[in-house]
This record gives sequence, C-alpha cells and structure tokens, in this order.
Amino acid sequence: MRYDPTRSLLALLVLGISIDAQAQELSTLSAADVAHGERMYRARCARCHGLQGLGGEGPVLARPYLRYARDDETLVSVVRRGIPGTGMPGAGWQSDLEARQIAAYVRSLGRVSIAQSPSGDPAQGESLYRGKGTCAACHGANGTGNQFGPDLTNVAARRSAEFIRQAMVDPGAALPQRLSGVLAFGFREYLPVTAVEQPGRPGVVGHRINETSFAILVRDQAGNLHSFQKTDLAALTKQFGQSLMPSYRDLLSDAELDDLVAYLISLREMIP
Amino acid sequence: MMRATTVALLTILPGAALAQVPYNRLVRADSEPHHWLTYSGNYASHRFSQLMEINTTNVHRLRVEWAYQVSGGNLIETTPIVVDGVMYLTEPPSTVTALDARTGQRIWRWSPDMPKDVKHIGFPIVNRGVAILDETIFVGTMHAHLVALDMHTGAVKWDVTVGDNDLGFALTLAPLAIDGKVIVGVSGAEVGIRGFVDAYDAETGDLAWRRHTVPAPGEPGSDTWDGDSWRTGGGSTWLTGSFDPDLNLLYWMIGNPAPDWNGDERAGDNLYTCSILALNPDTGEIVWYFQFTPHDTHDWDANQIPILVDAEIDGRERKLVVTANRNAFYYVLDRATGEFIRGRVYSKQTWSDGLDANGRPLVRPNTEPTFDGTLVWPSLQGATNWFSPSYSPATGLFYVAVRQMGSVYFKREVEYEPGKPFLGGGEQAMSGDDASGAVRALNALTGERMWNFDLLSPPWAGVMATAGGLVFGGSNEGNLFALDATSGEPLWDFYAGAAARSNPMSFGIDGKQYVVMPAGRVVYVFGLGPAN
Repeated sequence: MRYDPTRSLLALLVLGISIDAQAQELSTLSAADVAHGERMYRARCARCHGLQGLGGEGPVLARPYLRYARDDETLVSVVRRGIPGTGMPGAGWQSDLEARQIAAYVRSLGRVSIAQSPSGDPAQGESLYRGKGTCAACHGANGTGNQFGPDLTNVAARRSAEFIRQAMVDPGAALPQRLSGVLAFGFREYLPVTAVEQPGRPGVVGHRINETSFAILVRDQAGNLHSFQKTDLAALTKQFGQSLMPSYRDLLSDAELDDLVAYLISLREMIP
Repeated sequence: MMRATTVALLTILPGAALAQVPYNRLVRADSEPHHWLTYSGNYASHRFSQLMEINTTNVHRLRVEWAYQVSGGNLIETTPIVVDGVMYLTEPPSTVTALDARTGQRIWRWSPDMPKDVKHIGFPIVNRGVAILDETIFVGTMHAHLVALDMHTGAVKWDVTVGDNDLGFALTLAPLAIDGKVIVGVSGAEVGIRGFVDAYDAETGDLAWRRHTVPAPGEPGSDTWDGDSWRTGGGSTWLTGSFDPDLNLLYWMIGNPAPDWNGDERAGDNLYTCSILALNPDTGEIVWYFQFTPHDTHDWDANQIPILVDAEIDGRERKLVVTANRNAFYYVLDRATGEFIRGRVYSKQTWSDGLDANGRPLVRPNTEPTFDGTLVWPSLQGATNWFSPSYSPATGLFYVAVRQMGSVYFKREVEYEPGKPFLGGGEQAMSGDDASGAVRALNALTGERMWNFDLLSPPWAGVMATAGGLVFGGSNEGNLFALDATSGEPLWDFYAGAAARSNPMSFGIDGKQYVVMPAGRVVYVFGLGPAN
C-alpha cells in the first residue's frame, strides 16, 4: 500500500540519540543524532545526492543555502514529504526525529568547505564553450543555443565539478533522470532513440521528448519534432548508456577541460 | 442478445412487489450480459463481458459516447455497476452517483458526512464501487461506515459503523452482496489494526458475523504469532472477494501483517495474513485457508481478485480458485478443499527459489529488509496489485496487468501507538526506465505465459476480456487500449491524457455495447462509431 508522511515514534536504539523530536532545532541535536542521520543519508539519499552531497542525479547539498530548503523546518519537511513535481521523493516511513537527524546531517555537509573551485581559467573556458568546443550550439547557457542539450546555466547548483568533467568525457554515463518536465519521474532525459518507419531505410535519430506505451515523441538534432505511433514503426531502439553528445576526451586537452569546467562552475547561481 | 423490452418494463414498474435486483439475478449474472451486476461482473469474478458487438474486426471504430467528470479527489478506482439503464459509480472520497447509462446525466448523488481529517493511512483517498441487492445500493466509506441507499433516490436506509476510523479502519472496497447479506472488509494494517471480514443483514444492517483474520490466543493459528503481536497484527481485507453459491463458500483475500517490513516482534507464519480464506457465508467459519507468503516482510498483501474457474486437470473435473499474487507467483488451488495444485512465477522476482509441493515459498536468504536497504523484486506494490485480472471462458486464458519493478527495502524500529502509522521500514522503488509494465495472458490452469504486451511503466489499471475477442486495459501514461485476446496484438488505443487507475467494464443498452474506462478524473464511456 502507499504511505503518507505522518509522524511516528522511533524506538530508542543507541544511547545519546534523542527520543523527543518535537520541534527540536537541528542545531541542538547531538553528535550521535547526526551520526545516525549520516547512516540513513548514506542508505537513502546518497544514491542521488552523492555520498558527500556533491550531487549526481540529484542536486548538490554540500552548500550553505539550498534552493528548496532555506530554513531548517523546510528542510525537515522536504526530507519527509519530498518536493512535488521533482524527483525528490517523500519518505513517509520516517519518524519526525529521523527526518531531523537526516536534515541535521545535510546541514553539516553545507558547513564543510568543498573544494569545488576547479583549477581552470573561466575566461578561457567561455571561449572554448562558444568556439572550439561548439558547446553553445546545443546547450543554451543564459538563453543561447538551440536547447537540444540541457540548459547549463545553473548546472553547478546541481552538479559537482567532478561530475561535470566526467560528463564531458563520458556523456552517456551521465544522462540525467527526469527531475522535472514532461516524462514521469525517473525516466532518462536526452535519451538517444532511433525510430525506423520502413525496414532497411534510415530512421529518425534524436532525443526522446515524451513517450507512452503507444506513442513516442522525438526531437532530432535540427530541432524538428517527430511523432510516432509505436505500431507504425518497424523498429524503435533506445540507446541507454549512450548520448548524442560526443565525448570530449580526445577533442580537448586536460587543461581545456579544466577551463570549461571552471567556466560552467562560474555560471553558478549565487543564492544570497 | 439485448433485451430492451425487458429493460423498459423493469424500469417503469415503480414499487413492484418483486425486488428489482434479487439475489437470484446476481447468481445468474451471466444470463444478462448487457448488465454489470457486481464489482467483478459475476460472483466468480471473471471480469469478462459476453457482449461481442465490439470485436476484433471493428474495435478501431471505438469512440467516446459520453464522459463523466468526478467532483472530488484525484483518483478514480471505481468499477460502475449498470442495471436496467442506470449506472451506479463511486467518486472519491466515498460519494455514490447514479447516472443515466445512455447519456451520462446524473439522477442522484449521495455523500457521507465525514470529518475533514478522516484517516487514510497507507492508501490514497479512493473508493472502488458499490454493491446492489433487491432495491438497495451498498457503499463502504473512508470513515469505515457501511451505508445502504435506496437505489431509486439515494436516500439512506441504514448506516452502520464497521470500524473506528481513529484507529485506522477505513473502507475503500466495493461490498459484496449475497443472499440477504452484505460482506465487507477493512483497510488499516499500516495502523496496526486487527483485520476482519464482516457480514451484515442487508435489510437491517445488523452484524450477522465477524471473522477476525488474526486469531486470538487459543484459536487455531494463534501459535503463529509471538506474544501479544496478534493484537496489532494487521491482516486487512480491503478488496472484494468472490463467491461460489453451489459450494456455499466465500473467498476473501487477506493483507499484510503489521508492522510491515519488520517482523522481529511477530515471529511465526502470522496466519491468516497474506492468505486466502474460504468462509462459510452463513456463519463466517473458516472452512479452509491457504497462505501465499508466510511471515511477510515486504508488504505483499494477498488482496488481489480470486477468480473461480471450473476445468479438467489431469483427467479430473476440478473447481478451482486462481490468483496472481503480489509476490509474483500465480496459484491454482482447489476451491472446495484449498489444496494447492500448482504455482508458477509470472513476473520478475528475486526473493524465492520457487514453491514446494504444498505451495510454500522457498525463501532465498538475505532478501529481508535491512537498515541499509535490500534490493528485491517485486516492489512493495507487488507484481500486481488490487486492480483486476480477467478470465475468459472463451480462450481459457487469465489476463493480468503486471508491474515489473524492484525496490530497495528498508527496516526500522517501530512501536505501536493507536491511530498512528505502524511501519517498520519502507522502500525506494526503481522508477522510470528502470521499471516497466505489461499485460500478460497466462494459461489459467498452469500459469504458463501465452503472450505479453509491454507497457512503458508499471500499471495501476486492471483488464477485462470480452467475447468479442478483446482485452481492454489502461496504462499509467494515460493510454486506454484493446488487445487481441488470443495474440496480444494491440488493436485500438486512445490517449486519455492522465493515468488509468481503474478496471474496465462493459454494458449494453438497446443493442449497443459500451465499454467504460476511467482515466484521470474522467469516466469515459466508449461505443462503436459509424462504419465509415
């Protein structure tokens, strides 16, 4: 059956862990509480947010300000109830105390200084982005590009420098799962597909924009939309683990990759 | 095939001495296929329509004839009943509406007076439909009442409290009306209830009997519970059962033990959770039981529709009850004795090495929920769930909507507090491209897969087979569709724009067949358009 986020009592497991969580401020939770929160975080949150909160499928949490959780009570609420319309699920089985323990650990991640400043030169990176790298052709940062690839304006709010660099050399391994948009939660965004209408003839290659059990919508690299009924297709291939973005492993030097990463990090939205 | 004249006569006989829908009419539901008289279409729960005006050669002409927009809630899980030109359906949370089945115009509507903070812990605000007997419509409510309404006006005849909603009891199922009695079950295992099946006198609302699904100390099966754990042992009964008038047996499916995901304090098999009970409808006595998942820790309620099938097995005529369980196994049992005949995996599972000669699962080690999580197929929602399967006597196939989804199961400590969630853990389910769905046709006698039709995501909608050679169903992405019942080939689909969360049903008026399939907040009624 399905679960509603509702408070329940956690049995006292380890000496030093709070029993009464009623409106307890995160800053007053004990070290044992935070350690318990870390253990739960590693089991239940790290898959998307990374072990150190450096992001992955989910946004970076190792930062002092979180867009959807600027105060502690909101953070506790997000841990328990998720964020509707995004990939952040609620965890209804958690007690209020457990949610507070996780939230306290998440706040502790933000207090740690994370070496997110890469060694590259952002100015050099910007010219690579618009020039040699031809990134801007597909990735509209600050309103540019044709939106064939993801908008990278706020990518540093969601991804660590390490993740961004890895995505440049192995794009297929970093396909984002749907966090918001038209497909249901968890579907890969920018999934390359090939739709063949007649056997033996070249198919339409592009990104899956939407899909149901009976139809699929594909955008090709020129930006054209193609709508297919699956029963009309001779073949439909989904290239999981692949990307229509080329690997930059051999196209750019290590130093140039660092410059690009530095540029993208510099686009980070500064939340006051 | 249609009996328009009879229909007209019945509807213009006000206050006729003979009840409009007597028990005998329900027993012989198969003889009037243009009506849909019980939740699952007949007492055997076949969810099969004998109507064949809509068939494999013309289903491409299906079009919307009329639609009904529900007034509240977001999920329609109702199966309407249609009798003598009137459709009775439920809307969330517990509203009953009577519509003119020809045009969709409302005749009456009734809603209970419920507290705004009515409890529904462990499930969303839904209702799956009504039962009809004589001149009365029966509905269960979210605040755990059973209410009898006049079928012509919606006026309340009686209203009884089945359970205490403050303690987590609620009714979401369509009641089952038999001879002079109305049978209901309850939700609430996620709040630590002790479940039961109730029978009420259809005329007066008096409780005829109550059968608890968790035995008290001294009763048979009580040795399968540790200490006082039986008091909060769960065993909900939240889906409509089936009935065999000849054997005079009622078949009811029982839900998970409580607390879910953590069985430490309830050592033992935890009878009769995750079981089927065969009950004497006169007394509530347990005639036999069969447990699918002993000592469940994955929330695999057995609350799926039990389908009654008569067939020859190994040269012997058998009366069978078959079910596709949430635990990913399909079961064939003798419904007179409860004898396990066969079982077979019908969807991906990683928790068992199969079933022994008695049908008991051979559980793999390290498949229990843990603090750090254990990945197991199927997910806690199971390989299928409450939404209905269908059995076609024409093809001999059992059709089922399947959820192929794994989950990381977590375990935590929990203590019982009255009226509070009693959850010993939870899950993180695989999602998106990492999960999928299907409609499968199984040989009803063996469980062997005969065909498969892939769905993009795990469905929440049931299926209905018809004598027109079709299987109707719905997808979570919003497709309503018809498949060839013999091959599984898709023959028709309609994009409804929101998830289908209900079961198809069919009825006929004036020789025209209709198929009803809700999606989103709309009940769609389809019929054949012109030939060209």
